[in-house]
Amino acid sequence: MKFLSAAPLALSFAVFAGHAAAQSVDPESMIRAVGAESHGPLVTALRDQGALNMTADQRLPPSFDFASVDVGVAFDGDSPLLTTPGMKALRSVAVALKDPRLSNQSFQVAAHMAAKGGETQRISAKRAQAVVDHLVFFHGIAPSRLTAVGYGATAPRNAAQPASVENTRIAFVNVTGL
Amino acid sequence: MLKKLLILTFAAVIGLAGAAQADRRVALVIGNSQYQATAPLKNPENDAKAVAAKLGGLGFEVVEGYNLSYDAMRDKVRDFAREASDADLTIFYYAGHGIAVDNTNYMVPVDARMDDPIDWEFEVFALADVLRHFERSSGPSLVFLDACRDNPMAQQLAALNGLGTRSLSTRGLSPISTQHLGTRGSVIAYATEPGQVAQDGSGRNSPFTTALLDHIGTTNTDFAALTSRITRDVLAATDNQQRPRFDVSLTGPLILNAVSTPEAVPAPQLAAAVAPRLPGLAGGASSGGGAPAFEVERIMFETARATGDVADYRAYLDAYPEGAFATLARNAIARMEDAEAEEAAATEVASAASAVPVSTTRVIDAPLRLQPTPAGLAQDSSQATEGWLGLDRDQRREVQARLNVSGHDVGVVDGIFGNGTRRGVRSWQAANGFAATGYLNTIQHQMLVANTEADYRIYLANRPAVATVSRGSGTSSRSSTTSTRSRTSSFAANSSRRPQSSGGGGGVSAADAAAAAIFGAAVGAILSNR
Repeated sequence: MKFLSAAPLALSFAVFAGHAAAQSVDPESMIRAVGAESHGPLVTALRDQGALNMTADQRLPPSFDFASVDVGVAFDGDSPLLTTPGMKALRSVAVALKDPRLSNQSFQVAAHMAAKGGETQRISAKRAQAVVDHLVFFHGIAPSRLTAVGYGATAPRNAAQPASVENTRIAFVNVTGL
Repeated sequence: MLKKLLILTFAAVIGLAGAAQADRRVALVIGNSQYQATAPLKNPENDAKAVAAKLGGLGFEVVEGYNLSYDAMRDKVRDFAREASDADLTIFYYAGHGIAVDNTNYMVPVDARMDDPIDWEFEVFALADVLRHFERSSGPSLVFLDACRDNPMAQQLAALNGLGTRSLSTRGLSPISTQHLGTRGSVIAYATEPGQVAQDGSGRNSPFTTALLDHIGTTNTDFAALTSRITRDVLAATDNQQRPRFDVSLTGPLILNAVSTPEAVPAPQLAAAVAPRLPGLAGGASSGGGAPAFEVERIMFETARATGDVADYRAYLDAYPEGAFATLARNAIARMEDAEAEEAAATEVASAASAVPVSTTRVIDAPLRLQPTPAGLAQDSSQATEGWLGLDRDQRREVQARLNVSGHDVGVVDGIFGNGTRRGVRSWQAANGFAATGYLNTIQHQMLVANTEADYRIYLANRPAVATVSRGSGTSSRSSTTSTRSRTSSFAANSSRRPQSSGGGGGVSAADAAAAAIFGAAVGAILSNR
C-alpha cells in the first residue's frame, strides 16, 4: 500500500505553481512563482517594515504568503529515499535555482506528507534533508541557500482530506532575508 | 481432437490481439538537417519533429534527436536500445543524408566531414548498428528511411577515391535485409526505390514524410493497407518521379491506431442509409443539405482527428460542446497541450544546461547521470549514515541488485547486508571516488539509484519471476512485490507521452492483455488436463 503515496507524484512531476498543475517541472515557471517579487501582500508589507521576525529553519505559519512553489518529488514508499523520477524533478529545480534571477536568494525546503499516522514528522524532516543534500552535493547549490524543514502533516494542501496524496509534496519557499 | 482445436483457436485469438494492439511502443526518431561540412537539408528536422509528435499521439514513447553528431547519435541509439528491450512495437524513423557503400547503408551525422579517404567510415553510422537493437524487442518493427536524398557527400567521397574497389551508390540507399528485425514481423519503408534519389520537398516536409504523416494515424486500418495510400500520395506529389518502397513481412494485421468508439461504428451505416452523399461541410453544423446532424458531427471530428490540429478539435467542440466525441476531443486537446508544455520545459532545461548546445537534442525523459561535487565525494559514510536511510529489506535487495548490475558483485540478492554486500559497496565507492567504507550515505544511495536505473530495469525485466513465486515464503513474495512496484513507477514516469485512455491503443490494449492472460490460463489448464 505504501507505494500508492509516491506513484501519482511520479506520474505527473507536478509543479503546482498557482492554479495550474504542469506536466513537468518547468524551471521558468518555477522562477516566476518563487522569486522574491512573488511574495504576497502580507509578507511584502512585513518585510518592508522589517517586521518579519521569524527564522528560515522554523515552520512558517500557513497564513504567511511567502513566494513558494510545490514540487511533486517522488520518494520510495514512506522512506526518505529519492527515486529516479524524483531526482529528475530536482534536476529541473536545480536549473531554476541556478538562474541569475534566483541565484542570490535563499529557500526553505519544506517537506510535507499526507496524514496517515505514525512518523510523518520524522520522515518529512529526513526527506527535506535528502532533497537539500541532493541539490547541494550533485548540483552544487550553496548549502547556505537551503534550509531543510519537515512539516509532517501539519500544513496540508487539502485540509478537507488530510490523507490525500496531493498533501505529499516538497515546497520551495523563498526565505531570503530571514 | 476437440481439445487441440480449442488450443488452436485460443492461440489464434491471442496472436491477433497481440499483433493488433501493441502494449509498450517505443520509437527512435532522428532528423539531421544542419550539416556542417556538406549541403544542409531543409526538411529532415521538420520531418522528424512532426513524426515524433505524431507517434507520441499514437502512444509511443519517443526517443528523438535532431542534428546529431556522431557521438550524440550513438547516445540516442543507446537510449533507444534500453527502452526497446521490452517493447511490443518499435519504430525507427531517420531523415537526413545517407549513403550506401557495398550495399551497406550508413546514416550521416551532421559533423561528418568525409574528406579523409581512410577515416570516413568512422564518421558515419551504420544502419545495421541501429537495427541490431530491434532483435531485443518482442514485437513487430517498422523502419522508415527518408534518407535517400541527393547526396553531394557521396560524390565527394568518390572523388577522393577513398573506397578503393568498393562500389558506392551516390544515389540513395541499398535495400537491406530484414535479418535484424526479429521474427515478429517487420516493415522497412524507403522514401523511394533503392538506388533512386528522393526529394527533400519544397514545402515544410518531404513528400514521403508528408504522406506518412497523413496516413499513419488512420484509425482501425492495417498498416499494409496504408502503404498503398502513402505510395499513391507520394507519386501524386512528385509527378510520378518518386515511388516509395515498402518491404513488408508482417505475420498478422498491424493496426497502429486502434480505436473502439461505440458511437463511431453504427454512424457510417446510418449515414449511408439516409444520406449517401454529403453536400459539403461549408455550413458546418448548420449544413442544410439534408445530412443527418450526427453525420456532420462525425465528419468534423474525423477531420480534426485526421489533421491532428488543436484548432480543428476546438472547432468541433465549439459546434458540439456536448457531442458524442466531445470527451475524446477534449482528451486529444489535453494531450497535445501537455506535449507542448513538456517540449517547452525540455527546451528550457536544454538551453539552461549548456551554453553551447552541440545538438538541439531532446529526449522525453533524458537519463539522469549524477556526479557529486568534491564536497559530495568527501561526505562521511558510516554505519550511522546508512542507518539514517532506514532501508527495509526490500530496499536492501534493491541496493544489492543495483550493485550487481553495476558490476560490483555482492553475491546473492537476499536483502541481508553481509560481507559480500560490504565488499560490493566498497568496490562501488572506490570506483566512484568515495572513501571505501562499505557503508552508504544518502547521496551515495541517490547516485547508485540514478546511475543504475536503466540496468536495474533490465535486471527486473529479465529476472525469472518464477523463482520468487514458487518459493512462496513471506519474504520472497514480498520481494516480487518490490520489483513490480519499482518497475511500475518507473514506467509510469516514462510514459507521460502516452494517451491516458482510448484514442490510442492504451486502454484497449490493457484489456486485451488481460484477455490474453485469461486465455493463456485457459490454454494452460487445457494442456495440463491432457
